[in-house]
Amino acid sequence: MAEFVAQTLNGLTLAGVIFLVSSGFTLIFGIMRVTNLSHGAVYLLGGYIGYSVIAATHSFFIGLIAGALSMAAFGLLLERTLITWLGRSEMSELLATLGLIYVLDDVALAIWGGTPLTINLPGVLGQSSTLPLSGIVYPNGRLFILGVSVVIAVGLYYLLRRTRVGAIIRAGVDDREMVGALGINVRLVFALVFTLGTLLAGFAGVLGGTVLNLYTGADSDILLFALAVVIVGGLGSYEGAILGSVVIGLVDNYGTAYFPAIAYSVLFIPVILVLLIKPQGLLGKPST
Amino acid sequence: MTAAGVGPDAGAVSPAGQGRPPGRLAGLALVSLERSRQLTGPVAGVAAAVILFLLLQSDNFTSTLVVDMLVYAIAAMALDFLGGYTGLISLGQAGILGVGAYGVAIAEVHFFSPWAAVGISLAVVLALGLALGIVAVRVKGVSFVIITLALGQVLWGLAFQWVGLSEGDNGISVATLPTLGPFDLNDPLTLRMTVLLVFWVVALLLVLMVHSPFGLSLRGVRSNEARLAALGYRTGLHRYLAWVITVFFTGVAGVLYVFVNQLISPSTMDFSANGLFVIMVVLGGLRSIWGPALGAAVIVGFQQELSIYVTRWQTLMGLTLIAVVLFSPGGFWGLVRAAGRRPDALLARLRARQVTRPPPAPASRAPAQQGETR
Amino acid sequence: MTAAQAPAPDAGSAAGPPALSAEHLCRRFRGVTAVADVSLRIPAGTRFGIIGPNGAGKTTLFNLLSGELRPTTGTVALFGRDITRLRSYRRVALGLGRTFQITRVFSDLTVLENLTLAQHGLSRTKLSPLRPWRSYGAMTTEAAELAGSFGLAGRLATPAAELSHGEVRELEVLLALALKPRVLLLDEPAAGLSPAERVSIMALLRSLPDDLTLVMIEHDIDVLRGVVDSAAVLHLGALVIQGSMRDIQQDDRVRELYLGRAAPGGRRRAGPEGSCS
Repeated sequence: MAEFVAQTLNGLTLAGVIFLVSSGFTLIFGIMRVTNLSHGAVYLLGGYIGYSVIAATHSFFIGLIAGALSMAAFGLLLERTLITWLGRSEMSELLATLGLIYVLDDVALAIWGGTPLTINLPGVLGQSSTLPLSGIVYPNGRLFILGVSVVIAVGLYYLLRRTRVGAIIRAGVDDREMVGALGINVRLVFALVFTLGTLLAGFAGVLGGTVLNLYTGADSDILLFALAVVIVGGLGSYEGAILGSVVIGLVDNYGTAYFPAIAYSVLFIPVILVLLIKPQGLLGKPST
Repeated sequence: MTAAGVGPDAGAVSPAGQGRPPGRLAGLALVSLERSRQLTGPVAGVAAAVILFLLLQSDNFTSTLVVDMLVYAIAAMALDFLGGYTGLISLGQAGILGVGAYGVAIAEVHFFSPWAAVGISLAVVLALGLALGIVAVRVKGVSFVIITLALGQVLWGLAFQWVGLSEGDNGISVATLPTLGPFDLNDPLTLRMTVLLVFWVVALLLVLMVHSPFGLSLRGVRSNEARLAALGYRTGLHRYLAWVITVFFTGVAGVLYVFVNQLISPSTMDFSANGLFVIMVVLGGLRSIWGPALGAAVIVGFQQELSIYVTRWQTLMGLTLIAVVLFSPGGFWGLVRAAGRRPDALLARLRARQVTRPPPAPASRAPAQQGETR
Repeated sequence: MTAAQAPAPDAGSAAGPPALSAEHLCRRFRGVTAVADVSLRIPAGTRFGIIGPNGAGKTTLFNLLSGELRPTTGTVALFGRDITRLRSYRRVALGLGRTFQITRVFSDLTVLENLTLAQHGLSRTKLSPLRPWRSYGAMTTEAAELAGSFGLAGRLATPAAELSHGEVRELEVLLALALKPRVLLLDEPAAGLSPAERVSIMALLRSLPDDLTLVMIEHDIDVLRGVVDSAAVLHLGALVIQGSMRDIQQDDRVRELYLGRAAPGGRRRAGPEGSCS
């Protein structure tokens, strides 16, 4: 029983990291119709940069911020250049970001090498504590990740549902042209959303570097998770990203814990189920 | 373009003593130009066939490279059938190829004869295609890409983790290749020739399919699926069939792969490999049969040759893809076609001039018209 | 209600059932009634128009007739056969063709390829995988002739994306014709065309075979006058009148609708005449 609770917490922690990556991905797709396949590479790059900054400054939090901000800047640059040049063609954007993966992966390999790296949590975060009620000893770092993810999820929800900016973003997901016709600077909104997405991914990279490690191929792994999330939750749906992350995080973790031989493919089960029953995702809109 | 015979020369009076009227010469020249233009395709094809055949004769690095290119080309052409023509780009090709390869390897490990192994592998690939197709056709566009990406990753994960079956990261080596009467694929030359033969057969089948009513319907699916449905087509079925065909041919490539390399390991199926196939097709030229083959050759060349001189060749490849998407979406083959358009346009203009040039009145002593000057 | 007392010949008197008929068609979208209790009987071989100002429900009615939409209540019948439950492509197979106001042709295919696709749509050859489509001589010739008889012969090898707007409209009609429909629904075939292009497309429409039943949505009464024999006028989803063109033009209500002759007392319509149950 204690084991199960611990695994559930592990799954939720994973869900937290996945959520941070997939929410950005889904918002970017939702409002801009851009499939940023390099989102996983952004995650990894943010993690690597965080690692280096932590190594230089000996401060986890500075590294965390560095990872997030550096990827935000990268996202802004990317959006203003490549994405803008490619215009509206969805396939072109997909293919270009595919090419970008190779570039980013290679650069990361050149700078940080192929050996897996781990980010260590400072002080109390690196320790474990006994959880009430069950007496399980659980790493604080994971609780921290879980907590941070929940806070951000709630914060983003508030942003999207309760603020004017959020309303604009949601309207943009629904109907881009209309938003533009309402006199809103759509290009600014695009840049904002894209930057927010990559910021989240970079942030997630540093967090992920603590429990999931940073290694060549981590970007593909996290990308797979993010994609499974958007399939299950629905492309473009923020709440779908939350729901999907919880499902995928838990399923993957239980799979790895209890069925290690086919762990990777256990992930596919919710994906296939959703595709058979509701192809546009549990909370997705029917495709036009 | 049909050769309409020589242009009108009646009455094109030339100044006395100049022999043949220029009209007939011009007409003959035009005909021979058109004929040679028509032949460039077939001639290039025959030349390529001959060159390939010759390159494969000796057992050296070049022939190994060419065989690799041919195997990948088969998978790339199949991918284009689904992606370029039907509009469903799959990021799971390497996964399917891996299934074809592992199928043979695992069967041989379990003591099946090589031919039985081939049969089992192709049956598995076909079954996988038929089953997954039901799910795959429920989505289109970007969602389809995502599904196939996930599929590719899951297949790779299986190869990696289901150690009992796949021997994990070590991969499986295949020692025995099939024999068919006098043709022993264990002999390297026979194997290379077989690969070449399969390449041409697959290419021929794809060419036929693209130009068939079924192929036309796939282009219609890509162009305007809703309208095609309104014309009475069951478009989901057409997409399903295209998927199954593509998966099967890719599986064939996988079988050849494991025979050529005598080893299959998960790295053949990782994300990078999946992306590579898409790059081959885009680089080579979507919606062409030969473009992807060309793209496969280029990418294999990059991998084997360029990697020696340029450590960061992957960056280069990624940048090349981005550049192609930005500046030349038709890929290399698009450039070839564009190169062919100018002579075509020129010939068409010359032909139009020939046909519309009216025969001058017999009594006229006007010098032969040269048509509008440009 | 006014709809049923139409001077148009009653369907029963003509030979056979009406080509297309609708009984009490209703379509609601969440509180908005787009089509309210519309009944029509269109005899075979007639040229029938559907007129009405914007928002009158014409395209929705078309969508109900062609199967793009299911009615909330009511039925649709093709030559007496109830097709209400059939999806659009099934109705196509039964002889009901349709064009769209926003043209839906295959832009990256040539005119010949467009029409060939339509030709093969009727037969099982559409799944034929190995024989070149050009080798189906009969079908390809028919496609070429279809294009030729309506002026697109010189454009067979042109990709549809490079056609002029008028030519695209013609191709749109040709695509529908290639399926050999018995009833053809045309959704604003002349919309957005220059006067010269209008003449061209009207000539095309007039030259269509007599046994083909045409139902046409049009805004412009002048365009209709040259092509249709009778028509129905819709307003706010309901049928105002159905009759010959002359009857329609002399009808008071139609005049009020189009010329805005409002009564001094400010008589305003509260809602559609018909209503859905």
